[in-house]
Amino acid sequence: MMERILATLNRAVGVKGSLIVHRDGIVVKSLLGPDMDTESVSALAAATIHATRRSLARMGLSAFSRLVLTATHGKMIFVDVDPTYLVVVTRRDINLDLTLLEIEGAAYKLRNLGRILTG
Amino acid sequence: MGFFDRLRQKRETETLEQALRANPSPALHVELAEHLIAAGDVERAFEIARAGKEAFPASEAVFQLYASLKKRQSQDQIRALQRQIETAPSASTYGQLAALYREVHEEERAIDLCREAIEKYPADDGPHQVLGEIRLARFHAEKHRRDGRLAIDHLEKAAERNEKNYKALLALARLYLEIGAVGHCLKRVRQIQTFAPADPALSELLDRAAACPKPETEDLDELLRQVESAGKMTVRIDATRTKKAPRTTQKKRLAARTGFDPERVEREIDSLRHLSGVSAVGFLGEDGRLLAFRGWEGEKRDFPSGARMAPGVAVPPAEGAKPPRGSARQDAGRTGALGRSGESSQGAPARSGGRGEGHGWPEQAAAEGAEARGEADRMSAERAAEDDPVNRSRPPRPEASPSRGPGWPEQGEQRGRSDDWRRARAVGQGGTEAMSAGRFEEGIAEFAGSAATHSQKLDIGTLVSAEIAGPFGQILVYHLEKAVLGLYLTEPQPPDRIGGQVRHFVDRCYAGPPADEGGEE
Repeated sequence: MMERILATLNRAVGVKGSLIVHRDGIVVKSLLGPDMDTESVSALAAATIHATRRSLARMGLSAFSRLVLTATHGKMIFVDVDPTYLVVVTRRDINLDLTLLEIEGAAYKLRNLGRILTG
Repeated sequence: MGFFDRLRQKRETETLEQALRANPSPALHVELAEHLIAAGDVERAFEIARAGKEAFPASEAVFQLYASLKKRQSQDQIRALQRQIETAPSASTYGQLAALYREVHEEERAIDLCREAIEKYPADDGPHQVLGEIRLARFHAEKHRRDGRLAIDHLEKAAERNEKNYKALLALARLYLEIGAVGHCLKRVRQIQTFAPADPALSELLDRAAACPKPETEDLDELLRQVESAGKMTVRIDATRTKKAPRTTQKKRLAARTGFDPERVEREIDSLRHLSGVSAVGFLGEDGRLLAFRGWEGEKRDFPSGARMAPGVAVPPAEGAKPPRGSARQDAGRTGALGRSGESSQGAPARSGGRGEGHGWPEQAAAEGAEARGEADRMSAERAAEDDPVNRSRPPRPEASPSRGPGWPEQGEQRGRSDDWRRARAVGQGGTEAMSAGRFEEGIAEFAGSAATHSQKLDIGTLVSAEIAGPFGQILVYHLEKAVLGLYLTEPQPPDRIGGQVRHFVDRCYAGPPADEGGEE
């Protein structure tokens, strides 16, 4: 089911790959492109999540629900799907408003799936 | 279009052409090309854009125009090649289409196509060459060693599959020389000499290589690491890069050379208060230290921005100045024990905002204001100051002053201490604790540093910006040349919407001549 959600998401324009990663870096499910190494991406994604949470805590703010990193050659979007995170790698030139709808839709499905699985 | 319109258009074109001949610049190339497009002469516009691209290879505006025109011109060719790939695919078709995509600035499509081609035709050199060129361009632009390593790998693979691939071999020779690997460079030059002995590009490379000092190591990874840490190539061999850069690039270079002017930052940062929903703004320098900070949570918007000091500290009015409207008692009543307008729900004081605090009369404001504020306010301010890691190492507060209430500095001390006291001021809310300038500084610096490192490692390039959204609102971080700008918005906004104002602010904060006086374009 998770794989199907990620596969649907990866078909959206500009999405290069996606994965579900636990806060501690354990990959729950991954559908990344051929040029991306799942282990290193998930480790770095977990490190980014951890660093962001720590930075927010320093500022006295609560945990984040969404993080978007925009770099010169691509974007990375992290969405909280408690207790995991949905991580999406996209091209730089995408219309993020449209892609975010797809990403939020996938996150919603994953949250529901999590609720069903945990009873 | 009537006769006179055509005549006017022709005259305008001639004027622009004369201006371009007299003083060529990226802006004039773009203007003339756009003028020609409007006149329907797309072919000529393309020629102008191409000339502009050759003359100003670093200009983003010229490149975008050239890419859009090239894309327009190449549409038919792209469609034909796409059809050919669907019906009768071949290695050369993939190579041609990938090269075309690259030329029209659709790198991602080119990369995808190259990967597909590598899977289908592993013995072909074309896709590796295109991938190598893409990585090489990125390496030249950003100096990330990963891009350099991948450029070398792909170009080497292309040269391995076709020993007479001139473009790949020359690119390799140049790249090796640029990173200081002279031995590797000479090896590739000799390989080219076997089939193109009279190539003038080779003699130039040989001259440059002969002038280079012998490197300590020929280890490519080590040499790439050195380039990354230095932020520049070890040997500069591309003559076209020394041409006059466009205004934006010059500004970036200026910033890279001189950084930001703290005084300008301090002056201009108030322009960001008009952004919708903004609650706090911090500008961090290269070393991660806060150059300027403003918090506007609950602050009276009409209050002068100069009032940046702790509650209870008064600034003497200018000689002959009249008292402000409303007495200090009234203000103290409004902002003090009866509930300060700038106070957060958890009792931490907000940025000084009452007239009695910053611009009132010394005696009235100090005595009445301090009384009215009450002990609870001071206690919470102290707690915020003590919580702030910046303030932890600070010596204990001075004893109570009879005129100003306990714990606040004497008037003579206030100017020198204002920065320190400013850090102690809680400004925002939305999380579990009140936020202070010190916390904002630490949080943003830590986040920007880790996000920049991770984005490089994740192979998405150099971090440009980041958006963190949550129940607290939104934090936007802009990674600038030698600085970081952080914004805290309690009402989230699409980052694109405020990008223009942020860019304008950043442009005005560079050290050196103001952007408006640059006049390059």
